[in-house]
Amino acid sequence: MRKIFSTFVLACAASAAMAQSTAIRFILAETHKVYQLPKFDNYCMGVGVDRSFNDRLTLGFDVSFGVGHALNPTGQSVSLRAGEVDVSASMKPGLLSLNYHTEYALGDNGGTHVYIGTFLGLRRVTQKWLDDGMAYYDGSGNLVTFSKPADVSQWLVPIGLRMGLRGATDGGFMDLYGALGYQIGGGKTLVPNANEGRYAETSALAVTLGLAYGIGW
Amino acid sequence: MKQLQAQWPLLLTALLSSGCASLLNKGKQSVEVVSEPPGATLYAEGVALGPTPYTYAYDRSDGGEVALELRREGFVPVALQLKPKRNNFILFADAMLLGIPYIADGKSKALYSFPGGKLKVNQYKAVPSGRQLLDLPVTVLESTVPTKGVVGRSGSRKLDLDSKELADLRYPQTATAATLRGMTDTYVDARSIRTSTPKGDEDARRAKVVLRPLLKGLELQLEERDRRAFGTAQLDMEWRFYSGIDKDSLLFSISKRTEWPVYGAPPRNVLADALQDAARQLMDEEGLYERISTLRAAGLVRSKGEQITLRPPAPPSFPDRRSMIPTLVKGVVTVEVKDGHGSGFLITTDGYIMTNAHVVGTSATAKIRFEQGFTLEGQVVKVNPDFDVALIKVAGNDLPALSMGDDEALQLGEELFAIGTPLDEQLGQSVTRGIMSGKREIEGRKFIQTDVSINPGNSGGPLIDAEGKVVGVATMKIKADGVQGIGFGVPISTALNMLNIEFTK
Repeated sequence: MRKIFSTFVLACAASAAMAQSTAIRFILAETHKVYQLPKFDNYCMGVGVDRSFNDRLTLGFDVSFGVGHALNPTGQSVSLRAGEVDVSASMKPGLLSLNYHTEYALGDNGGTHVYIGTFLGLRRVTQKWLDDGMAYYDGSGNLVTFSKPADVSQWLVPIGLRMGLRGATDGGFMDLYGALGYQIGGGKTLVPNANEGRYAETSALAVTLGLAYGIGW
Repeated sequence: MKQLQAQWPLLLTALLSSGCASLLNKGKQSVEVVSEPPGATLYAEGVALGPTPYTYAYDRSDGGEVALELRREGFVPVALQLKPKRNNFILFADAMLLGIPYIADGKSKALYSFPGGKLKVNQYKAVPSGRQLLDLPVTVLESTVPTKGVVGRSGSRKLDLDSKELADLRYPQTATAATLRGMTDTYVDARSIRTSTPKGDEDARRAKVVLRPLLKGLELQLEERDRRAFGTAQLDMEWRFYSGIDKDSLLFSISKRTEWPVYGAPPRNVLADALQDAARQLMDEEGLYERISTLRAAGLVRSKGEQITLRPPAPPSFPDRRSMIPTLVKGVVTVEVKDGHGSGFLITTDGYIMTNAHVVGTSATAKIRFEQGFTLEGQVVKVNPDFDVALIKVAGNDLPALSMGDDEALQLGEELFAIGTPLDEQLGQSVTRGIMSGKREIEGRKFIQTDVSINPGNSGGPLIDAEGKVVGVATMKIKADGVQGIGFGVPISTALNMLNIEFTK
């Protein structure tokens, strides 16, 4: 017997890469649609972790925080309707977003690829009114005091589709992504007398855009 | 509908808990391994599973390759690397269901499947031990398959010579290489030659038998899945064995129809794989080894030419050992041809001179310079390039011929002398001394190995034993950096036999 005659039968070459890897992602910029108006005015940053189970499927979890509003001490100016007069009040919106997502890579996820998947989130929306009390003159010239709206918070549970483009960089990756879904708990009025509708009502439509940098091992 | 609506939470729970794979891909994890001829034993990771046909069920959940092997007494074992295909649609479904079914799918063997239900394997006979490797030049594959005809189907696609599956036929060298691969590790040393070139013709002449494969017809019945081909490729081959000496003389031919089971091969490889299989099946042909051996032996006998009967010379007389070499050098000559010179020695007193075939080359005549200073015109009587010996005749009588010794009796370490004209004709009849280092067989030819200095120009000179008798013809040495003292000579008995020289008693 000189040598084993070898026949190599490959049923599928495409499934050769079975790399399992874990990555930490830094969310450099992310914005969510949580209110009917404005559409996107929150700037969030955060961190997350991704786990690839094979060359196609990745699951991830991340948390992001609305740093844009947090770093603004004077808050947002919101126009309120008080009786027959418009008043302006300062309000500091807050947003904390927890996000679980899946990715199915349309190519080998070891390289640059487009992915599609789903997400399930939990968002904590808060509004903290900064002015203790306000006063205004009514049409008759009388000084009338006006109490600030109460601080409010709401939980939203967004669920939907998520897709993105992930490109390999030296030692890491960049991820540009977007998500679209339904926001359970959305559509609730938080500030009934908001004059221009800004920050008045949460949105039932969940939209997210983001950019992250990741390092994997 | 209402019932379905009522049960959807149950269905969803079942899907999420059992995974998508078991619902979408169940029952595709086995493959039936069939051997031709049947009855081989299938092994997995070295453990015997059972005789073929055997239904092998994939039982791993990591999608890794399985090493199977078909073993059967008297046949070459066949190693099979089976890699199942992962069903990516299941992963997609998992991703779209928030990854929850992957909890079950990630551990499920049902995530993988084999694309074909039956895996047929051709098994080849093991080469019996003790067979000599036969030199077999193979010419470029010829084909009489019509260039415009349909030769099969891949699914609904008609296949003709423009199809990717038959691309190798457009590049005959590639197709020929496939046939050569099929003959690897058998009893032939097959290599491609180009006929009607000096090198190709010389290779053919040396081998005596040349294989000229002809593809007469083929039929492919294939399906393509995931850019892999499945099905069968039938080839009609005519394996024509021609004489390497008389170029267009057909010795015999074997017509053979073979079927190659295609399983998961890249479509472009189908024809090459089928040709490789056909060539390997040819090697299993009963009696082929004996036929080629016999024809080769007959060819070698033909190279010897007509028998020449010569009168043996009287042994040269020398009173003592000291005068032995000075006496013998008189029987050694310088052979000059237009391309250079070599050495030779008189084997009869009437002017027959033995030398190397590579010394005379294609020359019909040679100038023979004797030690005594005179020169004679010699006629090349016979050349046997297979064994690198030649015979030259000069006119003369009472020439100082050397007597032939017994190379068979030569012992390891015994003293040997070489006499010849190395490098320059001015160095005629130079004598060097060494020992017999071994008896070797190279490509079926016997040689005496010696550390006697053999330099260019020495070729054709005699190797002489301690009794002053010729035991060999100095032929070649190994020339490489760091190599010293490895020279070879043709044993005198072989040289005489291959020139068909008979000495009268």
